[in-house]
Amino acid sequence: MPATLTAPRRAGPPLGLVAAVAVAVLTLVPLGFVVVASARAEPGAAVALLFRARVGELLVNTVGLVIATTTACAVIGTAAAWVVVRTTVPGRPVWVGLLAAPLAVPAFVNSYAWVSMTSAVEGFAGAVLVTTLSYFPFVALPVAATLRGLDPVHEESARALGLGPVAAVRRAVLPALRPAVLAGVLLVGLHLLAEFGALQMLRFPTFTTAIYDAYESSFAGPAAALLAAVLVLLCLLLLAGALRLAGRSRLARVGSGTARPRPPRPAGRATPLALLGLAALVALALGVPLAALGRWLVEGSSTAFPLAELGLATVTTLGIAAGGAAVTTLLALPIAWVAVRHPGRLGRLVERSSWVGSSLPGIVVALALVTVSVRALPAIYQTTALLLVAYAILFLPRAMVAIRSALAQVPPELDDVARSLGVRPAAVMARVTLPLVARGLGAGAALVFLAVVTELTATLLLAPIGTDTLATQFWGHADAVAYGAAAPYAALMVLISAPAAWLLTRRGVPGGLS
Amino acid sequence: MTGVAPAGIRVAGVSKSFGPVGVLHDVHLEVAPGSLTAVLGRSGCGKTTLLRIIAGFVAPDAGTVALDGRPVVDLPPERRRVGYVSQEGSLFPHLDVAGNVGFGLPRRLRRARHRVDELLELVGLEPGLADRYPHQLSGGQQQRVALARALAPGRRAVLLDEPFAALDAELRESTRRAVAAALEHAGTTAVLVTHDQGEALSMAGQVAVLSEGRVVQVAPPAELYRRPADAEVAAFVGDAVLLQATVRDGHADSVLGTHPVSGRPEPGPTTVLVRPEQIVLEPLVNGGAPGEVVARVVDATFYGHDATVRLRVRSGSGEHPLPDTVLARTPGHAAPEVGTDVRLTVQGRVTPTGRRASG
Repeated sequence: MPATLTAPRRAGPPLGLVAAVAVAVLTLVPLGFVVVASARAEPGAAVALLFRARVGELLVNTVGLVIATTTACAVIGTAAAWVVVRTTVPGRPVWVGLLAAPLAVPAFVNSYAWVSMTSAVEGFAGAVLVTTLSYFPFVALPVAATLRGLDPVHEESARALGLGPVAAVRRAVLPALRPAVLAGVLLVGLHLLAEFGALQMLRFPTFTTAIYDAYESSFAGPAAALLAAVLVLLCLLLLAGALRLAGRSRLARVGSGTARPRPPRPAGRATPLALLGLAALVALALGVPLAALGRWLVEGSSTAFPLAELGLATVTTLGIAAGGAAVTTLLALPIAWVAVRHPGRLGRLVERSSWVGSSLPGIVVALALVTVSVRALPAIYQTTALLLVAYAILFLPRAMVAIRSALAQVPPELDDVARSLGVRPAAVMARVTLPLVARGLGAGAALVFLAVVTELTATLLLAPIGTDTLATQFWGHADAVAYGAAAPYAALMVLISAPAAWLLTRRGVPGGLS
Repeated sequence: MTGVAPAGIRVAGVSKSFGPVGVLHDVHLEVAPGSLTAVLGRSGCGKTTLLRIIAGFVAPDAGTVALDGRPVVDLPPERRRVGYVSQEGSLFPHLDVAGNVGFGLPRRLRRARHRVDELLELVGLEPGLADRYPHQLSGGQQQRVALARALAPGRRAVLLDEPFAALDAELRESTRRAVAAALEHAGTTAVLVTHDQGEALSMAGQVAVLSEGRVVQVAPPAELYRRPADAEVAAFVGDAVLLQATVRDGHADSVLGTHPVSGRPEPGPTTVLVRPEQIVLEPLVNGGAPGEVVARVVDATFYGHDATVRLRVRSGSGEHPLPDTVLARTPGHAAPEVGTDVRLTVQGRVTPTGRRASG
């Protein structure tokens, strides 16, 4: 008999289910805001606001950037992963780490590094270059993980069926990489649609930067809301496109089993070329920002080390990040629980809705929370609580995925056994379930913590006046072209983010990329 | 163990469906205090669901479950005081053996090591294992710890859901013996769910056969084997040879001769059950005497200690049609060669299965 038969729960719907539905509703607030705001906009004014040359330019910029950068990331990320996993280039473990390292440099810091050295990176080409260098690990890491986990038996069978080595790879290996590449591309695309700091600094206007500008000039007016609606539409199109391309294959990691490891193939005469390519990639993605940071720290004319301010911003950042991690993990717990233990229609709905909020750009989430709080709950506007809610909406899946995979490894029979031993459900939670998912909770909280540290857009809009984080302080200085003054804040962010990048590359970290 | 008297279990009229799928239909079962009852059935027959209803993990759609005459259907599992051992043991992976065994004890008793040692001894394990974690134990050890854990807080009954199915053959036998001894020593009422006929027949004092959600027969093992309620049960609890026969004067005439019958069947045509080990094969002397049943060996499967032999009856007795083939079990050293002819006799009583012979 299947072991998933549910136990009788006589006290109405379980508390966890009620909590999960409440969290799901919260994550849908930003989408609801966009829909309501667009519906309320006066048709004539809306047409005038949307159908103008400026919006056309934003559309071309945004779509062009997404197409160019996702393509570049797919090609570069897959190629880099292939070289590192499937060939015998010297120093492979080091290269694997170096491919993940760019994740420790927030895109807006990378952009600042490039633009502070040469203004040639302003505009479309520069935007594609900088965002590709920042985001290609999102493709490279899952592809590398998939390649590592692929059972060579498929390729061997293809060879045994008479295919040559190239044809075997094309027909037996590349299709297996498709889900990983698509998942990475989707992630890159959503990040690009949400990217504000990096593109603002490169003077490359997209919908996100335009919403920010509209917010700066006219607060949460109809212009910002309508632009947000278009941006949300683009996000949904991207999601739908990725799902369609993925077809029936899962959009998640594949091949986590214990396949027989495949001996890497000697790169032979291609070795110098492969090494050169990897070195160039790492130099551009990691060397340039670190060199620029180093230079500004040492010799910038505006460089200053106001220790008190730096210390305060660090403490504030760590405090907010800890708060964000705690709130997000707490809210993710019921969603993960429902996803694992109530895998019915309601459970699926609740789980999916938690992805919707996080797929939306930070600027839209922030705009929604500003508008809703000002109109409905003025008491929480300009409070840290509202900022933490924004983080929870944005980063919920990171915690949820980690907890869910930990929870999925806890057989429901353990609950049954514990109760048959005379222990009540709440005590079963405390004595069995929580201890067993503690590692997942920790990993999820760490991922959220590190995401909050480098979050810029929502923090700029929602941080209470007088609350300065490393990101907002950096932004204030960099935006004013005080590159030297911005450098120490950037360096601190990179230092704090480094463990995140490391954590993401660890195999077996739930919610990680490999 | 802890002064808790074993409870009798009464399941009455229990039905359960999952969606449109009916799993249990009007199930009745009585388990005497301190006895071991096996619920035997093929996979998917509803036996696990029955166990989970008794434990309180699943609520029945209809019917009642009573412990010592008191209905418990409305009690959550933690208040029924019924222990549960699952197929994989389901030990808590974050707790060591002592932590697992003591899980259901009140807080002050959890640290008292002698309780844990006592329980480990009861299930035949070294006290030295108390500090090990589940992943450091063999499958058989895990099951014994699971039983010790279920018995620790003084349960009125223990339910075992295929506790030996995940073990390999060698471990299964020794674990079975240890569990049976521990249950007997503890004196607890026990219900064992299994699809293994040998396990049910060898361990239980009473076997309930469940088929497609219905209880088909409840009987002590020997009676179940010798006098199954119908041909299906007969075939399920062991290999069966079913023969058309005619009953008269307390005997049954079949193609294999005239046999004494068990019980007092009505005279007339019927089907009788013969177990393969009742069929004795002997070498044919001089091509066989008139009236002897002669059969040719079609194939033989050799197991070492014994062998099963499939035979085609060439000349039988009486007017009944010759059956396709019959199965005989012989000692391994006496297995005949394939292709030879043997003389065939039936020892002991045959059992009418209650079904009228057709055709």
